[in-house]
Amino acid sequence: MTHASHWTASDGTRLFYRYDDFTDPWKEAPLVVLVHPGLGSSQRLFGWVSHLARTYRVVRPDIRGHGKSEPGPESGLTHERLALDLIELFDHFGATRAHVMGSSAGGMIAGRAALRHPQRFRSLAMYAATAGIPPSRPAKGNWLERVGRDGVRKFLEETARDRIGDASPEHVRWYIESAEGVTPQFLARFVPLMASDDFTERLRELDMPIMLGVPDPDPMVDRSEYARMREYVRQLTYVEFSGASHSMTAEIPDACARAYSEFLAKVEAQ
Amino acid sequence: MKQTFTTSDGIRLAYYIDDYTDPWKPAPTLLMLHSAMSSSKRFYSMVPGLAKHYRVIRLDSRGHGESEVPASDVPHDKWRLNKDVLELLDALGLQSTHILAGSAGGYTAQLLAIHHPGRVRSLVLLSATPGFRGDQGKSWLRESKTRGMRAVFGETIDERIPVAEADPRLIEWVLGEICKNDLAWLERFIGHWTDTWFMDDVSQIQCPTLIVEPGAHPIGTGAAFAEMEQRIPEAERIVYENGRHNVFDYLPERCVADALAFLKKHFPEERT
Repeated sequence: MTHASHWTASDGTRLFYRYDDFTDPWKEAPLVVLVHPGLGSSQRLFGWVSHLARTYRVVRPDIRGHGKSEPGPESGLTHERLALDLIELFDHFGATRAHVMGSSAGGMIAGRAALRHPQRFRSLAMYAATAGIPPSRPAKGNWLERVGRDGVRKFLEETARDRIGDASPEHVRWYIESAEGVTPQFLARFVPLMASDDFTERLRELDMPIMLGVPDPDPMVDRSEYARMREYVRQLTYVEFSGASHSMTAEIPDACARAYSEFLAKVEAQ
Repeated sequence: MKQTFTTSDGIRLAYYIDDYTDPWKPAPTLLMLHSAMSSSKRFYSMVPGLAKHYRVIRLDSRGHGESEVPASDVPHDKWRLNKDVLELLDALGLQSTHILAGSAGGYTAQLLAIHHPGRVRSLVLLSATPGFRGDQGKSWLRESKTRGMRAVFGETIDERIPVAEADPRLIEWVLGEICKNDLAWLERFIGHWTDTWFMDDVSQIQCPTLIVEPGAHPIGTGAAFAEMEQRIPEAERIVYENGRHNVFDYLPERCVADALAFLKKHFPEERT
């Protein structure tokens, strides 16, 4: 059974998700939430669904300001609000706890939500996601300036190779089109928020299974950032994807989802 | 997500499309046709595996699932069931499709391949012979009228799903789904198939055909599967040893793996 729907978060913002569930109807299947990267939408993670939806109820939210989700009030974009968007989505599906996978900025949102609401997380997976963005990173590529000046589409076109490697032109076009709904105005709020509050050291507070999926080498992220995270994760599953680019969750979804399936099976068996 | 269309004789039919193929590439289509007393829902466990490679369409046959039950004065026969499928393909702009079908869905699938060869690229037939000749179906209906469907199909469920092997919760769920059906409609639907046998015509099936034979032959005519393989020019047959009739309910992973291997072999150009 699949459906896609809007729902209303507690601050009144209309958010959107896609839901895929082919689990046995007599079972209470665990909820898995897949959070897309910034400058993306839930469509980016479609390639994961067929690997997971037979065993898990799979929800793919559009992060506020992305896809079909409204950006919400100007002053309301905070780490706590993004965490609540996730937790309220669990509530919407009647799940006390959920497995959450976040890709890049989606992983940062998931990680920060796990620190705020650890009892709601069955596990956490972060793919190509660091625990914050060092201020040097967006500055290095003039992200905000370029997005503001040229628009999201042109910016993604110019940085596509670092993000999705040697994908075919059709694949790249789809990748760019699935950034629908993101505006420069929203990114001017979202990117600085992501870049604030590095939580690398706080990862040690999380007493839950954590998977780090790391592209090697990531053209957009310094290796040392991932290496530092490893030091602080207590229950770590570490998987490197050699030759993958930063947007590996959209570039090589099958390999990513298979590794995630194995991780989930291990966690569920505990 | 459920969608609907209305047939040329005014019946609203429900169908579902599931598609996890790469959206930037053209994808082949696979139509799933369920058995009698079933619905698209019962194929749930096969969908993720297939929809990774095919745009999967599941039709609720008229009178089943979320599709409208035709009134008793609406004419019914196998040709009408063929039209339902052709009209759905037309509505979706599809010239042709692969078909994977279980039991009675496979009767329609074969008749489509015989009479409309241009519309069917291949057949995967799960426990489907050329019709359902004999008294077995009629006796289910007769008994159900006096003792209720639950009693009749509960007693004979091992013909469909092996009670000693399968998850009891699956059996319970399937029984519940069977009993949701409209008995008056089943008398017309199954009744028509029990008067139908077209073995002499299956030699006209031109497309690659995979015959999955449930080895225990609990329902219908067991010898028919081998005869189909003999007669259909591009047929291959796999026997599920000691298999019961509803392989699509209790062996979904195996059915998907065999269907994908068959399709890949015959349609290498559709590599997905």
